[in-house]
Amino acid sequence: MSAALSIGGLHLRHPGTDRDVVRDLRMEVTPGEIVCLVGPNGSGKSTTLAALARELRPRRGAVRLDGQDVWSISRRQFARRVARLPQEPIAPEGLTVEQLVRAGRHAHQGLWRGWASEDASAVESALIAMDLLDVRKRTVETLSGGERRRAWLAMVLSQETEVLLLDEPTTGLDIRHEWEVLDLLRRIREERGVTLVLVLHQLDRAARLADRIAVFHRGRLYLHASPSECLNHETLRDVFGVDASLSGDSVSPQLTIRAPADPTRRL
Amino acid sequence: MFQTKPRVPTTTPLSPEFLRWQVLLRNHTMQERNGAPHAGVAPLLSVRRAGAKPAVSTHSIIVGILPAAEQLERKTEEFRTLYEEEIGHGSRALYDRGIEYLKTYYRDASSFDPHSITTMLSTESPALVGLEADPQCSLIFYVFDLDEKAEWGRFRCLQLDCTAVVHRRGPVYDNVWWHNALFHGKEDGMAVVQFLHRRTYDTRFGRLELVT
Amino acid sequence: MRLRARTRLHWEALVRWPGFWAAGLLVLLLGTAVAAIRFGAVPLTSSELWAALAHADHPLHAVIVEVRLPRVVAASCVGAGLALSGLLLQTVVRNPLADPGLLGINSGAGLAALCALVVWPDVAGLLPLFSFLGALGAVLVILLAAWGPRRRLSPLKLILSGVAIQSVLFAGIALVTFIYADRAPAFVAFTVGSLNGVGWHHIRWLAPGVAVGFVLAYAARRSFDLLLLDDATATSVGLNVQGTRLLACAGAALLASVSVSAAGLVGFVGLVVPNALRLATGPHHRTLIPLCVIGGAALANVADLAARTAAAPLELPVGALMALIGGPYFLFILWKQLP
Repeated sequence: MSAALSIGGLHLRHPGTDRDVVRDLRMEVTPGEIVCLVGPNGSGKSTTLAALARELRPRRGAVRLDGQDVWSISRRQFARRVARLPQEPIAPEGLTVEQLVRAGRHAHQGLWRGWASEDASAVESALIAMDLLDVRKRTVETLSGGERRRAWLAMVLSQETEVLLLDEPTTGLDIRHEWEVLDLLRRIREERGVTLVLVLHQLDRAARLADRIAVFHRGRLYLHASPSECLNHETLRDVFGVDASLSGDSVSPQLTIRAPADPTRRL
Repeated sequence: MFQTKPRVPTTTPLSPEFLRWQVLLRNHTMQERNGAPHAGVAPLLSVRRAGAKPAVSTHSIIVGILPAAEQLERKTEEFRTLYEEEIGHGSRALYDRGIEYLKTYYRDASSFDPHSITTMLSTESPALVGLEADPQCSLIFYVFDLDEKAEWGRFRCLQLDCTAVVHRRGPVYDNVWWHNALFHGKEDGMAVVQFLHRRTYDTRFGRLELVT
Repeated sequence: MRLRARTRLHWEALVRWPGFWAAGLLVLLLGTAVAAIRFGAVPLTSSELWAALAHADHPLHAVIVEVRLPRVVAASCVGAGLALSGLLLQTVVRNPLADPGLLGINSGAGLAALCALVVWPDVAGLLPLFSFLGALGAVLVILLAAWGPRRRLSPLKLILSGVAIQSVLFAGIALVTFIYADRAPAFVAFTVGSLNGVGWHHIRWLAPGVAVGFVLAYAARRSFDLLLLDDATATSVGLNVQGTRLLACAGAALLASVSVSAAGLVGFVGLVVPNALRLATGPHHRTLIPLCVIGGAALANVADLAARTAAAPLELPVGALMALIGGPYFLFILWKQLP
């Protein structure tokens, strides 16, 4: 259960502004792959994710899901194939974890087709996968940060899509919970074979999780390659503007930042 | 509909020494500096502003040179092909391939247009607005580096009086735009300025000496 | 100790159970309805009431069927309509402080109705149509103002533009009232909100309007639930966010306008009822929508009964009484719920 994403010549612009935030982006995501989008603030990662999620209409170019333009797919059909978790989702007060997770089944229900057994089993398996059975009756606002993040992930999982798009799923979590969430993501890929595209800020985490990394720089794709090819002294200097060294292997890279540095490429 | 062909302003060729210097400098930039511009390609542009005070505004710009007229469109096509081939691998790969290509591109002064110098400006920039109001302008080159012993780093102070022609489309625009795209990607809202050379002064030590 | 803990748990579960509230409010509604029919210029005992209802030739039959009964039905419909309208608006703007009165929808309906009264005094029967158009116009202006160049309906912008438009419309109402001061008494009753003199001909528009609004809202309950999530998530699970918002706004306009055309500008029912019920039973529309209908009807009847009996034989306007309850409740929400 996975699909390929293909991005061709994408120019993105927020409505009401006159500047392209992302310019001429071309990128392929193969089925079942984990791709991390990294880059400094304002480099266009989240905007790109919004375009992949069929939320922002490209000014030029197209995003294709298994060869089909995402804007030619109906909203509901698309929601059955691609799920997206924004950076800071909001739940209304008084909503329980279980009710939240059930919201993920919206696209699978119709005006006439109500709650069915496969909906119930999808919710159940999402709750189990995210280890939320104990807190399913609690309201979302009473959960701890880590639990809350898992609850949102469970909602996205219950959508049973082929592609998951996650915007900084570990922001605001402590080291332990961050590790847990990343571990869960790896497991989701292994068990469900979904294609995962996520925005991550921490380079070393991205290197550990991703099959390939897409480095963004000033609204353009700087490099799209394996973690070991991406994370090197040159990238860190060109894109992040730091003089840093990397040690350790690609599985657990160590990042030591020495000083800010001037980029040598005038991109 | 009633457009007449714009009158081509009178122009004289750049001094052969200047053009050779520019080509050498660009070759050095690609070979040794990974594309980072040298002071020799970053002159000051001084634009006259009728009725305003001060009556002249100066802008720091980066300039380029054009391939000779008969090669212009072929070179543009080469830039474009290079871009299309590499952009899918990310802008870094494109940049690296671009540098690789330009190392051999800037070699022989005779394959470049001896009449003009080019630059790209944002359509909203005050420099462009000024040039459209009054195309007579000057480019001031200033290179002074005691540590630089090579020929391109020799002490130079030059003032080039030029006539600016603004391009928003056409072969000149395409050439400069695609050359720029190798480094900075596709950019909208830009105009290309072609500075047609009229005369050059050597201004070292406060002189104003016509270069022939 | 342990026993006490368990009983408290049961009590909490009961309080959060929607059925408990439904039953309680229904009892309240029926009680006040019966009381409202019995009390009046001529009080009735229960047995007299049944006798008067059963026999068409009873001397009080006409009073009950033509005056008191329509008033109870109208109060119930107005309360239900305003409460539902408020619920939809609170869902749209994702904020407990929304209310058709506060957002200027009532005033839009009111101004249109007043203008119609002034220009064509003899088309009273078409008043509901005018007030619906007025409410719809107010909603459209609010939406247009909130849409902006970024082409996005954000909850905050909706509230603020609603407040701005409310003040403009209210100025319009004041102006019309001032210019046509000769007809002031009718206008005053309208602007303050009163159920005095409501008959079956008012209900001809009111009841179907509220019924349509209710069915519409209940059919879209699951989408409204998702509207409470943030826009990006709601879109991601397959909801047409802007479309659902528009639907909810249209429903709110319909419900508010039919209510206003019958009872004038009654505020705060739309604020208090959905808000209190949400606090009690959670944010789910499947339970909130029917509960708001019962709760709104009950509150309107209580308020109307109080308005009629508190200073009898003088009759207070029900709108003023509601504002008396609603204003402090508004402050309570501000104090308790908003960060």
